[in-house]
Amino acid sequence: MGPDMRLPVPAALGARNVTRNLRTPMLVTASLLQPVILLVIFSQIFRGLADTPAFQRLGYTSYLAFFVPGMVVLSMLFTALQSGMATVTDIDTGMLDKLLTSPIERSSILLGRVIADAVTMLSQGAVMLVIAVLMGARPQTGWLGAISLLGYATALGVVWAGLANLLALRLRSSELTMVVGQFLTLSALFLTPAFFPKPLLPGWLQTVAMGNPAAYVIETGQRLMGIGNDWGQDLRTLIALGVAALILVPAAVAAFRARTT
Amino acid sequence: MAVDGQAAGHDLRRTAQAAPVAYGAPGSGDHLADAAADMVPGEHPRRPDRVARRRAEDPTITAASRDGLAIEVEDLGKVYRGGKTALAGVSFAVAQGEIFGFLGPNGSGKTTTVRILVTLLRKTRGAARVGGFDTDREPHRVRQVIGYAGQSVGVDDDLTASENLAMSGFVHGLRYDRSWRRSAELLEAFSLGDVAKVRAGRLSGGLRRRLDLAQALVSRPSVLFLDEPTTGLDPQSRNALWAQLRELGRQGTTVFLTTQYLEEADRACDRVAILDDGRLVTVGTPQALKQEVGGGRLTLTFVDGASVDLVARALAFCPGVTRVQSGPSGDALVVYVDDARASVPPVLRLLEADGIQVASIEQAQASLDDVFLRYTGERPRTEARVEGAVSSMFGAAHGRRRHGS
Repeated sequence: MGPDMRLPVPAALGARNVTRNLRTPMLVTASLLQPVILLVIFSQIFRGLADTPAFQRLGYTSYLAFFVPGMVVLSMLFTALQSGMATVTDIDTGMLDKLLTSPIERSSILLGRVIADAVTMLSQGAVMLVIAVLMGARPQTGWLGAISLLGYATALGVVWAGLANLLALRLRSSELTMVVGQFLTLSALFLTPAFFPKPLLPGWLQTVAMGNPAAYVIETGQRLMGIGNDWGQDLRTLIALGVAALILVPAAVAAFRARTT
Repeated sequence: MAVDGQAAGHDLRRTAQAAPVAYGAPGSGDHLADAAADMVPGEHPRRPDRVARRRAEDPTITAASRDGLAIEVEDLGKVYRGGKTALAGVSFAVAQGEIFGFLGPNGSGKTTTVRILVTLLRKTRGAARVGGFDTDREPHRVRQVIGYAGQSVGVDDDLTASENLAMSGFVHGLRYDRSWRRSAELLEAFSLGDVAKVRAGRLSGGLRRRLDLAQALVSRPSVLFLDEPTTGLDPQSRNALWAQLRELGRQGTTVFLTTQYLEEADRACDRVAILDDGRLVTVGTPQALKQEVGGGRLTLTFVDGASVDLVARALAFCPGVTRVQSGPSGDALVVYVDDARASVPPVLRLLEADGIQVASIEQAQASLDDVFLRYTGERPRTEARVEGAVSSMFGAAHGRRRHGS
């Protein structure tokens, strides 16, 4: 970037939001710490599952590799919640008013947020994967598969950030956003095959999971990590993410617009 | 003030009942609100001939700056969802380069007006133009000409002072290096050079406010909106701020501000408007408004207490007396007069003739407080409810009983 360039506003705001995360590293580490601890604990607790015929019949050989995608997704969902919290902070401090009275596109403000979220989520996910590899996990589909997993999970995280921002803009309280957001996030995690392979889940849970985009991303990640790629699953995941984005993004944008009237 | 506790308690009971009555201003606010509306005729909002006519007509705009209007507001109304009316038809105009003070009790609609003018709120009635642009139809153009510092300090606590200012430059479309240069300039101008590299979150309240104001100036706005810019600042910072605002006014920047510090508004604003309950009750230069309430005032306390009624009746035919009103503390009465010193002997004579014994008398020139008091019927407060609670607690502690509320 030359010194006489105009910085695109979304990039400037994105840089601002990333800088915030870098200067308050606790924010990022906190949303990373819990999934890492869960990863370590549960991969030990359920280690024996990999030896059961039911598990092996599905093609999985390591519970760790199977479990990593769920925790990568969880760390990103936490970061998504923080994106909503950051919006509440911007409302409370008057920062959002400052931006809204500047001659910039409204979308730049949201875009700046999304860019920062995506950067943070990708780096978090990468850290998670490195930890998993250090613990002995080996992605079946190699680096390409690991990168795809990061891509899917980040896309889900961005969609989830849309939900968190929607909550933040409608509830206008960091406490409420945190409580409601955490409830939705943990529900989204537990109503997935994150801990147990999908075919082994009770029927009703499998049905519920069909409406949960996190379930698609986690299942895809599990295949990429443990079995191999399945294009049909990729397609279903992309559709699920697309549908979720189509619902949540316009709702978040509408909530954002409502702030200005 | 109170002569002794016993008498004061007695006074309070009697005056409290009569307190809300104000003499000499029949119908108090309303006719003046109409007069203010007349100054800005509410015709079709887009006809240039009408604008030109108004420029010539509005007598409260200083002649020197009549050529350009920075803010034009006509019959502005805002009803919030849920039905609360915040603004009930406000009209005024602000000339370019003017420092315009917006005064009024809490909840009178000051912030609502500012938020409509800076495009953060949509009006529900009337017309509002800033820099010639309609706030609803051309918000983007409005945003290009304004700077805004709201009640809450809009700085990013995680960025340093200089980064905050540069960020503001990026957001206003300044080039990369230009943004940093502007940031350095403003740090210098606002004496923030020493804390340029300090994160805003670690700055004191006063410094953060200063940074916020500097941020509002990054784009060199032609119209600056400040919502209570001096609240929370120490006297030195406040004086420095006013000096800066006057300098900006000299350079041609229009400053529209709300404040609770009437004395400062008196000294720094070219004109002030007083808002009460969503209506503009008066607008004019501080000088003219003070003249209107009378040149001076006498604050009286009485040996046996006296009601506004009683004193007003006694002074009904006293030359030079314009009005009698209950004072800031329940037991004192304020008599507005044309000439404070000359009025003392006749006032005392007439009161004595009616058997009202004066305990103390204090003379003063009229201030903007008096104007405010006359039009809004209340002393300006920063926290109305808290103050009410404190004074009733204070009253209870002193064995007083308050009547009515």
